[in-house]
Amino acid sequence: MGRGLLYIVLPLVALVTAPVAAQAPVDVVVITHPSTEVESIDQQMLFDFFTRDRLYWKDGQAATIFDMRERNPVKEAFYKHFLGKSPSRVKSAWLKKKLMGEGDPPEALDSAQEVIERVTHTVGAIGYVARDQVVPGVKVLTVIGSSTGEPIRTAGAR
Amino acid sequence: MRRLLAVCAATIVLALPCQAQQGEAPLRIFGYFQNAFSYQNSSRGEVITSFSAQQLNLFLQKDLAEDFTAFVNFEVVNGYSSSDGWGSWGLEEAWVRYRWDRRLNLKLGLHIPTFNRLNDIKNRTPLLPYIIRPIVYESSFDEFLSNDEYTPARGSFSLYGFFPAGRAKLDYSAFIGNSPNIRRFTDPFSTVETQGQSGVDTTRALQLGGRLAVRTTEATLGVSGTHERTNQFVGAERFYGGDIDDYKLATRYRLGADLYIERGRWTAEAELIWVRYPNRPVPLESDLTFVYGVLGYNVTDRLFVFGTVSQNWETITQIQPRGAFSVPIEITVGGGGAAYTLTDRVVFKAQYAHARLDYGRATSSGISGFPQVSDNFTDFFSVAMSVVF
Repeated sequence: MGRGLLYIVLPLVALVTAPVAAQAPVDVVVITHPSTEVESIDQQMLFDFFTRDRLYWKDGQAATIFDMRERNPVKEAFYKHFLGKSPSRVKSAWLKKKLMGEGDPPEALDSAQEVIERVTHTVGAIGYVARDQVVPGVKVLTVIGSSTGEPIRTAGAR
Repeated sequence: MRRLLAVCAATIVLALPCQAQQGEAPLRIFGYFQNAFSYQNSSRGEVITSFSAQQLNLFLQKDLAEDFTAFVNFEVVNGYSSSDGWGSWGLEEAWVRYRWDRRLNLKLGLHIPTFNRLNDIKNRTPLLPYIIRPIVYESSFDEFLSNDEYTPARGSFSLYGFFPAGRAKLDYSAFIGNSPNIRRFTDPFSTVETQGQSGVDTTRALQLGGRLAVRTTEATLGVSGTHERTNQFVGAERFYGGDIDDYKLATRYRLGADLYIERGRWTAEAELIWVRYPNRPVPLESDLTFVYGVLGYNVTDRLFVFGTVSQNWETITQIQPRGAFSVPIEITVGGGGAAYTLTDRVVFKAQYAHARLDYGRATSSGISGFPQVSDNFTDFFSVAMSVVF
């Protein structure tokens, strides 16, 4: 009886705690190529880059966007806090542009290492990774909230 | 106007060779199709169960230079077969676009003009959760509904772009195209004198139109309009007399308004279209009004459910050899559905729609005996798969 109860309770505990673990705050940062001549980016401008409404930096340099292919906490946090839209909504915007002949979706990469690698070697590139994955060779951009004028953080400061 | 077109065309032609020196981009071939299964049950007792290849669009796209793109769109509707005589196949778009920047794009060549929110994406089935689109946008019904009267079908030159204004964007689009008086091989009123090349505008009139909209990340509000001359009343001069030019060049204008709101998981959208003939040459009503609304909810990131209702108030005018007549018709469509995004390229859809047609009393010249029909309805249950390739 006792063991039977355990078989029921343990999976339930795992089920209840799993979402908590999945929602653990992740500190995500937006990175760019070191030659990009800005230190911060407005949230609206970041949104426009990702939805391909904006294709160039203010100095005329093309902005190449790198996304992450798989859904993971870093991607979830980036879309939720920095773009304010779910990945599916942003994908719909990309699909519309593609089918209208107006542009292609950003390239989706498999890992944070690949994002860092590509941003490091692509002038004007933008990507996002967890803060603790940042390495020398990329520049971290502060994202400024369009409505608040304050820097946005996806998790508590470290 | 022609001078403006010539200058724009010359700009594009002269600029191309300067930018095409840096290697050639690949020709990209892609598209989408939507296959459906539907069960229809009408008030006349007619039951239809049928699979259909509702739509296929094949795109060819090539970047000619950094800011120049060529785009071709072939469309196949209702499982086209020339040997069996069903469906249709046509060239929907063939254009080249010059992107100066986000504030100014020029599109030159055949394209679907922007009008309200849905017109230029009405046939992009993967973008829409519907199987049966709001009825004036439902291309597979073109065979028996005069949808081209509600929305502009073809543009030939467009200017469009947007201006950022704080957190909003001001979208604009303006186009010129042929009037709808396109010569066909099978024109019932053609004579030896009027026969000629098919597919060309037979009048000196052009169609003008455009849209202005304010867009934020959560809402869009737009207004649209077109002005054109139509020859759809030609033939009625035999019954009503008058100057033939009035029949060849009757003024038609459309006014449209569209609204889209996104709030959390909820979305709402609505459109209104008015079509008016202010100086029609026949004493027959010919006005059209259409309105629809959709309320949607994202149950999960992949599953979207919606409810929709639309209403047409229209008066169709028919010119026949023995007379002319017009009949007021009301079409009401209500229902709901769901769209499930299986992968980025495959969407499954299900929809129920109840469509009701009410015919009013006909006004006629030379024809009599029109029955008044009401409570004529059809229920549609459909499932479909939309695939991007």
